[in-house]
Amino acid sequence: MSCALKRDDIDMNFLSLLSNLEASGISVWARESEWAFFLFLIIHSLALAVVVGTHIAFNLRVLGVAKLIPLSLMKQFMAVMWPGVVAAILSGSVLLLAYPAKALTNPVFYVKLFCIVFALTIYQKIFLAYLTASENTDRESFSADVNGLAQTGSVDQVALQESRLKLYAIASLLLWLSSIFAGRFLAYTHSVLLASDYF
Amino acid sequence: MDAIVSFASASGIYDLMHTKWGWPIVESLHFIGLCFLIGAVGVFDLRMLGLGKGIPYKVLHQLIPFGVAGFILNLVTGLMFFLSAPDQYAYNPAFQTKMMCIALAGINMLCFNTSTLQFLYKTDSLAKVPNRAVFFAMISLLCWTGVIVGGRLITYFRPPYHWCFWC
Repeated sequence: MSCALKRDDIDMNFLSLLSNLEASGISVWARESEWAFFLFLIIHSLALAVVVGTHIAFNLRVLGVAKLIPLSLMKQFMAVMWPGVVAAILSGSVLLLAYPAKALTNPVFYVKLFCIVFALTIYQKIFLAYLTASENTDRESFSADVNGLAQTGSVDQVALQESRLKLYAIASLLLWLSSIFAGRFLAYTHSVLLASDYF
Repeated sequence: MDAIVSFASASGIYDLMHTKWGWPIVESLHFIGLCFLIGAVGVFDLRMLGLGKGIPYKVLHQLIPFGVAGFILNLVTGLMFFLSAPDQYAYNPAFQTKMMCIALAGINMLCFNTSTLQFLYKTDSLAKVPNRAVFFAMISLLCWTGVIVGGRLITYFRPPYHWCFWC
């Protein structure tokens, strides 16, 4: 096996740690079994389709496609998103264990993780928080109506809120597309395949 | 096979795919097209399986053009793979299975569009999903799962070491 990087260029302590990891039972199995690596690649691809697919649908809705659907109803499709995330993390972990040095010595891997975490955070902290807040407002304005004290929010404020959400939807879409590019490029940009090649 | 290769060379597709980043960029686009397809078609199937009750089918169907766009992107990028290494696909059982799944998904969609879609448009959005819509949705999800599994397995089989069903 050729070593693309010279020994001096890399952190040998880190590499020795990864080399030990490569010797572990699950790592050897994931790497050398006839079918294990492909099985987890398949699970990872299916999970990717579920996770990114549902986020694309949700973001398109935020951007104004099929805008007669209330966001709170659109949220129901995200019920399949979290199981997808779990499947992606589990399958991804096995793929990572098979070739730990290949990913962990490649900056592209950290770009991919950053994109995914950022995109999920946008969903959780912006979109879900917005939905919860607007549900509360609905309830408040409802009770206000009942008390004859109806106070409607200014139209400008609603429009501002909507354009802010659209920016986040575009950011989310770009982050998901970037994570796909980064994930695919992992197979082409690694400088180390196996840490044990260096010892 | 030779004709395909000479077309790929003459059109420049072969050279484009074999530039340093050609293949991975087209692969990434193929995955992105897949996500748009599943995001639109898969979500509509989930609606027919009972998720998202209260969403009118006609409004949700406005997502479908994005799925079609994803499919067209994948048709183009998929052809770029095929033309650049036809022997790796034509004789590959994973590729053949994938193509059959796509054909089946297409037939399923045509039957659904002609028999059930208009009926769903008139159905109350809170009503129970009719059984035949559940059936079409399950066939669709199974087919697209088969397409992804088959696609991912193409590199598992490397013709001529593995051979196709009829060779």
